[in-house]
Amino acid sequence: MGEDAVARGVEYGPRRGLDEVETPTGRVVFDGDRVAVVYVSGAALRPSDPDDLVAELGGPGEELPGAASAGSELHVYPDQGLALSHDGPKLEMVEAFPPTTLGAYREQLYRDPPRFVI
Amino acid sequence: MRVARLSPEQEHAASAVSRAGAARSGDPRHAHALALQRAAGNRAAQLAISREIRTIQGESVHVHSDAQAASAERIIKRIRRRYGIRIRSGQLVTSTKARYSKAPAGERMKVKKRHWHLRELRALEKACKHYAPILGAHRDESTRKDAGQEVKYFGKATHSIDTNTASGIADSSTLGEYYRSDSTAGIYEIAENDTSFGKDVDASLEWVCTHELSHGLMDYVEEDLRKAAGYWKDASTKTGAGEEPWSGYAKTSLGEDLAESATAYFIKRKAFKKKCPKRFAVIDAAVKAWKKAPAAAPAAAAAAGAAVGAAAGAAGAGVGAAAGAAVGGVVIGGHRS
Repeated sequence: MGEDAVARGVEYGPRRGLDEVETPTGRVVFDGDRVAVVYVSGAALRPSDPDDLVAELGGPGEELPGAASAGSELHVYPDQGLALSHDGPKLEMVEAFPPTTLGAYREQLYRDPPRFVI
Repeated sequence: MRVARLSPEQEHAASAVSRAGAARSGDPRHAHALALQRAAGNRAAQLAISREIRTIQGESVHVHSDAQAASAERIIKRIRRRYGIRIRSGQLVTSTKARYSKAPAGERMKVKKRHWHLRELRALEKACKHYAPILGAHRDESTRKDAGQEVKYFGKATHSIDTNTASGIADSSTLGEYYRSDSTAGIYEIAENDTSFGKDVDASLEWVCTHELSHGLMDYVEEDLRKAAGYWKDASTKTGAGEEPWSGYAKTSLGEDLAESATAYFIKRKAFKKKCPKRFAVIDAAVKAWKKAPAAAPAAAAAAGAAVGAAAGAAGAGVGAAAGAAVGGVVIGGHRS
Protein backbone atom coordinates (compact mmCIF):
# COMPACT_ATOMS: atom_id res chain seq x y z
CA MET A 1 0.00 0.00 0.00
CA GLY A 2 1.42 3.36 -1.00
CA GLU A 3 1.59 6.44 1.15
CA ASP A 4 -0.96 8.10 -1.13
CA ALA A 5 -3.56 5.56 -0.01
CA VAL A 6 -3.42 6.99 3.50
CA ALA A 7 -5.58 9.99 4.33
CA ARG A 8 -4.01 12.03 7.12
CA GLY A 9 -5.68 14.11 9.79
CA VAL A 10 -9.14 12.62 9.46
CA GLU A 11 -11.94 12.65 12.03
CA TYR A 12 -13.77 9.68 13.41
CA GLY A 13 -16.60 10.37 15.81
CA PRO A 14 -15.24 12.81 18.38
CA ARG A 15 -11.59 12.18 17.51
CA ARG A 16 -9.41 14.16 15.14
CA GLY A 17 -5.95 13.83 13.69
CA LEU A 18 -6.27 10.18 12.74
CA ASP A 19 -5.06 8.35 9.63
CA GLU A 20 -7.36 6.38 7.39
CA VAL A 21 -7.20 3.85 4.60
CA GLU A 22 -10.27 3.19 2.48
CA THR A 23 -11.15 -0.42 1.78
CA PRO A 24 -13.70 -1.94 -0.58
CA THR A 25 -16.03 -2.43 2.36
CA GLY A 26 -15.41 0.68 4.42
CA ARG A 27 -12.23 1.92 6.02
CA VAL A 28 -9.53 1.27 8.57
CA VAL A 29 -8.70 4.14 10.91
CA PHE A 30 -5.32 4.37 12.62
CA ASP A 31 -4.19 6.26 15.68
CA GLY A 32 -0.48 6.40 15.02
CA ASP A 33 0.59 2.82 14.35
CA ARG A 34 -2.41 1.31 16.17
CA VAL A 35 -5.73 0.40 14.60
CA ALA A 36 -8.37 2.60 16.21
CA VAL A 37 -11.35 1.13 14.41
CA VAL A 38 -12.33 -0.89 11.36
CA TYR A 39 -15.55 0.44 9.86
CA VAL A 40 -17.59 -1.84 7.63
CA SER A 41 -20.50 -0.37 5.72
CA GLY A 42 -23.89 -2.00 6.15
CA ALA A 43 -24.32 -1.94 2.38
CA ALA A 44 -21.33 -4.30 2.09
CA LEU A 45 -22.85 -6.70 4.60
CA ARG A 46 -26.45 -6.84 3.48
CA PRO A 47 -28.65 -8.80 3.45
CA SER A 48 -27.45 -9.79 6.91
CA ASP A 49 -30.29 -9.71 9.41
CA PRO A 50 -29.40 -7.41 12.33
CA ASP A 51 -31.46 -9.53 14.71
CA ASP A 52 -29.36 -12.58 13.80
CA LEU A 53 -26.15 -10.66 14.40
CA VAL A 54 -27.37 -9.37 17.76
CA ALA A 55 -28.34 -12.90 18.75
CA GLU A 56 -24.91 -14.21 17.70
CA LEU A 57 -23.29 -11.54 19.85
CA GLY A 58 -25.23 -12.76 22.87
CA GLY A 59 -27.93 -10.13 23.14
CA PRO A 60 -28.43 -6.42 22.61
CA GLY A 61 -25.28 -5.33 24.45
CA GLU A 62 -25.13 -1.68 25.44
CA GLU A 63 -27.75 0.26 23.49
CA LEU A 64 -27.31 3.83 22.33
CA PRO A 65 -29.04 5.98 19.71
CA GLY A 66 -27.21 5.66 16.40
CA ALA A 67 -26.24 8.58 14.18
CA ALA A 68 -27.21 7.23 10.77
CA SER A 69 -30.96 7.79 10.93
CA ALA A 70 -33.80 8.71 13.24
CA GLY A 71 -34.46 5.02 13.77
CA SER A 72 -30.85 4.01 14.17
CA GLU A 73 -30.10 1.71 17.12
CA LEU A 74 -26.48 1.18 18.10
CA HIS A 75 -25.50 -2.00 19.92
CA VAL A 76 -22.08 -1.80 21.55
CA TYR A 77 -20.12 -4.81 22.84
CA PRO A 78 -17.13 -3.01 24.34
CA ASP A 79 -15.37 -6.06 25.75
CA GLN A 80 -15.73 -7.87 22.41
CA GLY A 81 -14.51 -4.84 20.48
CA LEU A 82 -17.62 -4.72 18.29
CA ALA A 83 -20.52 -2.42 17.63
CA LEU A 84 -23.27 -2.47 15.04
CA SER A 85 -26.10 -0.15 14.14
CA HIS A 86 -29.33 -0.84 12.35
CA ASP A 87 -32.62 0.81 11.51
CA GLY A 88 -35.12 -2.00 11.84
CA PRO A 89 -34.12 -4.67 9.32
CA LYS A 90 -31.53 -2.43 7.65
CA LEU A 91 -27.99 -3.06 8.85
CA GLU A 92 -26.19 0.29 8.78
CA MET A 93 -22.65 -0.50 9.89
CA VAL A 94 -20.34 -2.69 11.93
CA GLU A 95 -17.32 -1.38 13.84
CA ALA A 96 -14.43 -3.49 15.13
CA PHE A 97 -12.04 -1.91 17.62
CA PRO A 98 -9.63 -2.95 20.38
CA PRO A 99 -11.67 -4.23 23.35
CA THR A 100 -12.49 -1.36 25.66
CA THR A 101 -15.08 -0.05 28.11
CA LEU A 102 -18.39 1.59 27.27
CA GLY A 103 -17.12 4.86 28.69
CA ALA A 104 -14.04 4.78 26.49
CA TYR A 105 -16.14 3.84 23.44
CA ARG A 106 -18.41 6.81 24.06
CA GLU A 107 -15.46 9.09 24.50
CA GLN A 108 -13.42 7.93 21.53
CA LEU A 109 -15.69 6.43 18.89
CA TYR A 110 -19.33 7.29 19.51
CA ARG A 111 -20.95 9.77 17.16
CA ASP A 112 -23.66 11.90 18.70
CA PRO A 113 -26.82 11.61 16.61
CA PRO A 114 -27.83 14.75 14.77
CA ARG A 115 -31.32 16.17 15.22
CA PHE A 116 -33.72 14.61 12.73
CA VAL A 117 -36.89 16.63 12.13
CA ILE A 118 -38.36 14.94 9.07
CA MET B 1 -73.83 17.52 8.41
CA ARG B 2 -74.16 19.41 11.65
CA VAL B 3 -73.63 23.11 11.05
CA ALA B 4 -74.18 25.28 14.08
CA ARG B 5 -75.78 28.62 13.37
CA LEU B 6 -76.08 31.67 15.56
CA SER B 7 -79.03 31.19 17.82
CA PRO B 8 -81.93 33.66 17.62
CA GLU B 9 -80.75 35.05 20.94
CA GLN B 10 -77.26 35.59 19.60
CA GLU B 11 -78.63 37.20 16.41
CA HIS B 12 -80.82 39.48 18.46
CA ALA B 13 -77.97 40.49 20.73
CA ALA B 14 -75.69 41.24 17.78
CA SER B 15 -78.38 43.33 16.07
CA ALA B 16 -79.08 45.22 19.24
CA VAL B 17 -75.41 46.10 19.63
CA SER B 18 -75.27 47.34 16.03
CA ARG B 19 -78.44 49.36 16.30
CA ALA B 20 -77.26 50.95 19.51
CA GLY B 21 -73.98 51.92 17.85
CA ALA B 22 -75.74 53.49 14.86
CA ALA B 23 -78.15 55.33 17.09
CA ARG B 24 -75.32 56.73 19.11
CA SER B 25 -73.51 58.02 16.04
CA GLY B 26 -76.69 59.26 14.33
CA ASP B 27 -75.05 58.73 10.93
CA PRO B 28 -76.92 56.41 8.48
CA ARG B 29 -73.58 55.49 6.81
CA HIS B 30 -72.47 54.04 10.11
CA ALA B 31 -75.63 51.98 10.28
CA HIS B 32 -74.92 50.59 6.81
CA ALA B 33 -71.32 49.80 7.69
CA LEU B 34 -72.39 48.12 10.88
CA ALA B 35 -74.94 46.05 9.01
CA LEU B 36 -72.24 44.85 6.63
CA GLN B 37 -69.94 44.16 9.52
CA ARG B 38 -72.65 42.19 11.26
CA ALA B 39 -73.34 40.08 8.19
CA ALA B 40 -69.66 39.31 7.66
CA GLY B 41 -69.17 38.63 11.34
CA ASN B 42 -72.09 36.25 11.39
CA ARG B 43 -70.70 34.33 8.43
CA ALA B 44 -67.27 34.09 10.06
CA ALA B 45 -68.79 33.06 13.35
CA GLN B 46 -70.93 30.46 11.60
CA LEU B 47 -67.89 29.03 9.82
CA ALA B 48 -65.92 28.96 13.03
CA ILE B 49 -68.68 27.25 14.94
CA SER B 50 -69.39 24.80 12.12
CA ARG B 51 -65.96 23.18 12.37
CA GLU B 52 -66.23 19.69 13.67
CA ILE B 53 -64.21 16.55 13.94
CA ARG B 54 -65.76 13.56 12.28
CA THR B 55 -64.72 9.96 12.15
CA ILE B 56 -64.09 9.09 8.52
CA GLN B 57 -62.80 5.66 7.56
CA GLY B 58 -61.70 5.19 11.16
CA GLU B 59 -59.71 8.45 11.27
CA SER B 60 -60.57 11.74 12.94
CA VAL B 61 -60.83 14.51 10.38
CA HIS B 62 -61.51 18.19 10.99
CA VAL B 63 -64.04 19.44 8.43
CA HIS B 64 -66.30 22.41 7.87
CA SER B 65 -69.04 20.83 5.81
CA ASP B 66 -70.53 17.68 4.39
CA ALA B 67 -68.70 18.39 1.14
CA GLN B 68 -65.36 18.47 2.96
CA ALA B 69 -66.21 15.28 4.80
CA ALA B 70 -67.05 13.57 1.54
CA SER B 71 -63.83 14.85 0.00
CA ALA B 72 -61.77 13.53 2.91
CA GLU B 73 -63.43 10.15 2.61
CA ARG B 74 -62.71 9.96 -1.10
CA ILE B 75 -59.04 10.83 -0.56
CA ILE B 76 -58.55 8.25 2.20
CA LYS B 77 -60.18 5.59 0.04
CA ARG B 78 -58.14 6.54 -3.04
CA ILE B 79 -54.88 6.43 -1.10
CA ARG B 80 -55.71 2.93 0.09
CA ARG B 81 -57.06 1.66 -3.23
CA ARG B 82 -54.57 3.22 -5.64
CA TYR B 83 -51.44 3.34 -3.55
CA GLY B 84 -51.84 0.50 -1.07
CA ILE B 85 -51.32 2.82 1.88
CA ARG B 86 -53.76 2.75 4.77
CA ILE B 87 -54.33 5.88 6.82
CA ARG B 88 -53.80 4.63 10.35
CA SER B 89 -52.88 7.17 13.00
CA GLY B 90 -53.08 4.49 15.68
CA GLN B 91 -50.26 2.64 13.94
CA LEU B 92 -48.11 5.80 13.93
CA VAL B 93 -48.66 6.21 17.67
CA THR B 94 -47.71 2.57 18.25
CA SER B 95 -44.59 2.89 16.08
CA THR B 96 -43.52 6.12 17.76
CA LYS B 97 -43.86 4.66 21.24
CA ALA B 98 -42.01 1.51 20.20
CA ARG B 99 -39.06 3.38 18.65
CA TYR B 100 -38.67 5.54 21.74
CA SER B 101 -39.22 2.74 24.21
CA LYS B 102 -36.49 4.01 26.56
CA ALA B 103 -38.09 7.43 27.01
CA PRO B 104 -39.99 7.93 30.26
CA ALA B 105 -43.51 6.53 30.25
CA GLY B 106 -44.90 9.98 30.99
CA GLU B 107 -43.38 11.35 27.79
CA ARG B 108 -44.49 8.40 25.70
CA MET B 109 -48.02 8.83 27.04
CA LYS B 110 -48.08 12.29 25.45
CA VAL B 111 -47.93 10.74 22.00
CA LYS B 112 -51.53 10.51 20.84
CA LYS B 113 -53.49 10.34 17.63
CA ARG B 114 -54.11 13.74 16.10
CA HIS B 115 -57.02 14.63 13.84
CA TRP B 116 -56.35 15.31 10.18
CA HIS B 117 -57.12 18.44 8.22
CA LEU B 118 -58.23 18.16 4.63
CA ARG B 119 -55.12 19.97 3.36
CA GLU B 120 -52.92 17.30 4.96
CA LEU B 121 -54.78 14.49 3.27
CA ARG B 122 -54.52 16.36 -0.03
CA ALA B 123 -50.77 16.79 0.49
CA LEU B 124 -50.36 13.10 1.24
CA GLU B 125 -52.26 12.15 -1.90
CA LYS B 126 -49.96 14.39 -3.96
CA ALA B 127 -46.95 12.75 -2.35
CA CYS B 128 -48.30 9.28 -3.15
CA LYS B 129 -48.89 10.32 -6.75
CA HIS B 130 -45.16 10.94 -7.20
CA TYR B 131 -44.56 7.30 -6.36
CA ALA B 132 -47.61 5.90 -8.14
CA PRO B 133 -45.63 3.51 -10.40
CA ILE B 134 -44.30 1.58 -7.40
CA LEU B 135 -47.32 1.74 -5.11
CA GLY B 136 -50.33 -0.53 -4.79
CA ALA B 137 -51.28 -2.67 -7.74
CA HIS B 138 -48.92 -0.73 -10.04
CA ARG B 139 -45.96 -2.01 -8.08
CA ASP B 140 -46.61 -5.49 -9.43
CA GLU B 141 -46.04 -4.14 -12.92
CA SER B 142 -42.84 -2.35 -11.96
CA THR B 143 -39.24 -3.41 -11.54
CA ARG B 144 -39.80 -3.10 -7.75
CA LYS B 145 -42.37 -5.88 -7.71
CA ASP B 146 -40.13 -8.36 -5.90
CA ALA B 147 -39.48 -6.03 -2.96
CA GLY B 148 -42.27 -5.53 -0.46
CA GLN B 149 -43.87 -2.10 -0.45
CA GLU B 150 -41.87 -0.14 2.12
CA VAL B 151 -44.71 2.16 3.22
CA LYS B 152 -48.04 0.55 4.03
CA TYR B 153 -49.40 2.88 6.72
CA PHE B 154 -49.44 6.63 7.14
CA GLY B 155 -50.70 8.41 10.22
CA LYS B 156 -50.87 11.63 12.14
CA ALA B 157 -49.97 12.06 15.80
CA THR B 158 -49.38 14.84 18.28
CA HIS B 159 -45.65 14.42 18.91
CA SER B 160 -42.62 12.37 18.28
CA ILE B 161 -39.91 11.99 20.94
CA ASP B 162 -36.50 13.57 20.60
CA THR B 163 -34.24 10.67 21.59
CA ASN B 164 -34.58 7.06 22.62
CA THR B 165 -32.97 7.45 26.03
CA ALA B 166 -34.16 7.97 29.57
CA SER B 167 -33.94 11.71 28.93
CA GLY B 168 -36.20 11.55 25.86
CA ILE B 169 -39.05 14.06 25.78
CA ALA B 170 -42.10 14.55 23.59
CA ASP B 171 -40.82 17.15 21.16
CA SER B 172 -42.52 19.81 19.13
CA SER B 173 -39.97 20.08 16.36
CA THR B 174 -40.29 16.76 14.52
CA LEU B 175 -42.56 17.28 11.50
CA GLY B 176 -42.60 13.72 10.23
CA GLU B 177 -40.92 10.35 10.63
CA TYR B 178 -40.55 7.00 8.91
CA TYR B 179 -40.57 3.71 10.81
CA ARG B 180 -38.85 1.10 8.70
CA SER B 181 -39.67 -1.85 10.95
CA ASP B 182 -43.39 -1.15 10.71
CA SER B 183 -43.59 0.11 7.10
CA THR B 184 -45.18 3.17 8.65
CA ALA B 185 -44.72 6.89 8.10
CA GLY B 186 -46.52 9.91 9.40
CA ILE B 187 -46.65 13.56 10.26
CA TYR B 188 -46.95 15.30 13.60
CA GLU B 189 -49.08 18.17 14.82
CA ILE B 190 -46.32 20.75 14.40
CA ALA B 191 -46.53 20.24 10.62
CA GLU B 192 -50.02 21.75 10.57
CA ASN B 193 -48.73 25.31 10.36
CA ASP B 194 -45.10 24.83 9.42
CA THR B 195 -43.51 26.33 6.33
CA SER B 196 -39.93 25.14 6.82
CA PHE B 197 -39.99 23.03 3.66
CA GLY B 198 -42.16 25.05 1.30
CA LYS B 199 -43.38 28.49 0.35
CA ASP B 200 -46.57 27.92 2.30
CA VAL B 201 -48.14 25.29 4.55
CA ASP B 202 -49.56 23.24 1.67
CA ALA B 203 -46.22 23.12 -0.14
CA SER B 204 -44.38 22.23 3.05
CA LEU B 205 -46.86 19.45 3.82
CA GLU B 206 -46.40 17.93 0.38
CA TRP B 207 -42.64 18.13 0.82
CA VAL B 208 -42.69 16.47 4.25
CA CYS B 209 -45.06 13.70 3.12
CA THR B 210 -42.98 13.00 0.00
CA HIS B 211 -39.79 13.04 2.10
CA GLU B 212 -41.19 10.44 4.51
CA LEU B 213 -42.30 8.17 1.66
CA SER B 214 -38.85 8.57 0.12
CA HIS B 215 -37.13 7.20 3.23
CA GLY B 216 -38.83 3.91 2.57
CA LEU B 217 -39.43 3.75 -1.16
CA MET B 218 -36.05 5.05 -2.36
CA ASP B 219 -33.79 3.53 0.27
CA TYR B 220 -32.56 0.94 -2.21
CA VAL B 221 -30.60 3.59 -4.16
CA GLU B 222 -28.86 5.04 -1.11
CA GLU B 223 -25.51 3.42 -1.86
CA ASP B 224 -25.68 4.49 -5.52
CA LEU B 225 -26.30 8.06 -4.41
CA ARG B 226 -23.44 7.94 -1.93
CA LYS B 227 -20.98 6.78 -4.58
CA ALA B 228 -22.22 9.18 -7.24
CA ALA B 229 -22.27 12.31 -5.08
CA GLY B 230 -19.00 11.63 -3.29
CA TYR B 231 -20.22 13.68 -0.32
CA TRP B 232 -20.52 10.87 2.25
CA LYS B 233 -17.91 8.41 3.48
CA ASP B 234 -20.66 6.53 5.21
CA ALA B 235 -24.16 7.08 6.50
CA SER B 236 -23.14 9.88 8.83
CA THR B 237 -19.58 10.94 7.93
CA LYS B 238 -18.85 13.50 5.25
CA THR B 239 -15.89 13.22 2.90
CA GLY B 240 -15.30 16.95 2.88
CA ALA B 241 -15.67 16.93 -0.90
CA GLY B 242 -18.18 15.87 -3.54
CA GLU B 243 -21.37 17.43 -4.83
CA GLU B 244 -23.16 19.70 -2.35
CA PRO B 245 -26.52 18.30 -1.24
CA TRP B 246 -29.83 19.88 -2.20
CA SER B 247 -30.50 21.54 1.15
CA GLY B 248 -29.00 22.27 4.52
CA TYR B 249 -31.13 19.56 6.07
CA ALA B 250 -29.80 17.06 3.52
CA LYS B 251 -26.41 17.45 5.19
CA THR B 252 -27.76 15.77 8.33
CA SER B 253 -27.01 12.24 7.12
CA LEU B 254 -26.87 10.15 3.97
CA GLY B 255 -30.44 8.96 4.57
CA GLU B 256 -31.72 12.53 4.82
CA ASP B 257 -29.70 13.46 1.74
CA LEU B 258 -31.39 10.65 -0.18
CA ALA B 259 -34.91 11.58 1.01
CA GLU B 260 -34.33 15.25 0.23
CA SER B 261 -32.88 14.40 -3.18
CA ALA B 262 -35.82 12.20 -4.12
CA THR B 263 -38.30 14.81 -2.91
CA ALA B 264 -36.52 17.58 -4.83
CA TYR B 265 -36.51 15.35 -7.91
CA PHE B 266 -40.30 15.21 -7.86
CA ILE B 267 -41.15 18.70 -6.62
CA LYS B 268 -38.26 20.96 -7.73
CA ARG B 269 -36.98 18.94 -10.67
CA LYS B 270 -35.42 21.69 -12.77
CA ALA B 271 -33.62 23.37 -9.88
CA PHE B 272 -32.53 20.00 -8.51
CA LYS B 273 -31.07 18.90 -11.83
CA LYS B 274 -29.12 22.13 -12.06
CA LYS B 275 -27.82 22.13 -8.49
CA CYS B 276 -27.25 18.40 -8.00
CA PRO B 277 -26.69 16.77 -11.42
CA LYS B 278 -25.02 13.65 -9.98
CA ARG B 279 -27.81 13.02 -7.52
CA PHE B 280 -30.35 13.80 -10.22
CA ALA B 281 -28.81 11.15 -12.48
CA VAL B 282 -29.13 8.50 -9.77
CA ILE B 283 -32.76 9.26 -8.93
CA ASP B 284 -33.72 9.75 -12.56
CA ALA B 285 -32.24 6.40 -13.57
CA ALA B 286 -34.06 4.66 -10.72
CA VAL B 287 -37.40 6.29 -11.50
CA LYS B 288 -37.13 5.61 -15.24
CA ALA B 289 -36.33 1.99 -14.54
CA TRP B 290 -39.64 1.47 -12.66
CA LYS B 291 -42.00 1.70 -15.56
CA LYS B 292 -40.32 -0.40 -18.17
CA ALA B 293 -42.36 -3.19 -19.66
CA PRO B 294 -41.24 -6.65 -18.47
CA ALA B 295 -39.80 -7.59 -21.86
CA ALA B 296 -37.69 -4.44 -21.89
CA ALA B 297 -36.66 -4.67 -18.26
CA PRO B 298 -33.14 -6.06 -18.78
CA ALA B 299 -32.30 -3.28 -21.23
CA ALA B 300 -33.79 -0.71 -18.87
CA ALA B 301 -31.83 -2.03 -15.96
CA ALA B 302 -28.66 -1.91 -18.00
CA ALA B 303 -29.41 1.66 -19.05
CA ALA B 304 -30.12 2.65 -15.49
CA GLY B 305 -26.94 0.99 -14.33
CA ALA B 306 -24.96 2.79 -16.99
CA ALA B 307 -26.39 6.12 -15.92
CA VAL B 308 -25.62 5.49 -12.28
CA GLY B 309 -22.18 4.22 -13.11
CA ALA B 310 -21.45 7.27 -15.22
CA ALA B 311 -22.49 9.51 -12.38
CA ALA B 312 -20.56 7.59 -9.83
CA GLY B 313 -17.39 7.40 -11.84
CA ALA B 314 -15.56 4.27 -12.76
CA ALA B 315 -13.74 3.91 -9.47
CA GLY B 316 -16.83 4.35 -7.34
CA ALA B 317 -18.88 1.97 -9.46
CA GLY B 318 -16.46 -0.83 -8.79
CA VAL B 319 -16.57 -0.46 -5.04
CA GLY B 320 -20.04 -1.89 -4.48
CA ALA B 321 -19.38 -4.94 -6.60
CA ALA B 322 -16.24 -5.78 -4.67
CA ALA B 323 -17.63 -4.92 -1.27
CA GLY B 324 -20.09 -7.74 -0.62
CA ALA B 325 -17.72 -10.51 -1.57
CA ALA B 326 -14.75 -9.07 0.26
CA VAL B 327 -16.24 -8.29 3.62
CA GLY B 328 -18.33 -11.32 4.48
CA GLY B 329 -15.78 -12.94 6.71
CA VAL B 330 -13.76 -9.91 7.82
CA VAL B 331 -15.52 -8.65 10.89
CA ILE B 332 -18.39 -10.98 11.45
CA GLY B 333 -16.39 -14.08 10.63
CA GLY B 334 -13.54 -12.78 12.75
CA HIS B 335 -15.83 -12.41 15.67
CA ARG B 336 -17.30 -15.86 15.29
CA SER B 337 -13.90 -17.42 15.39
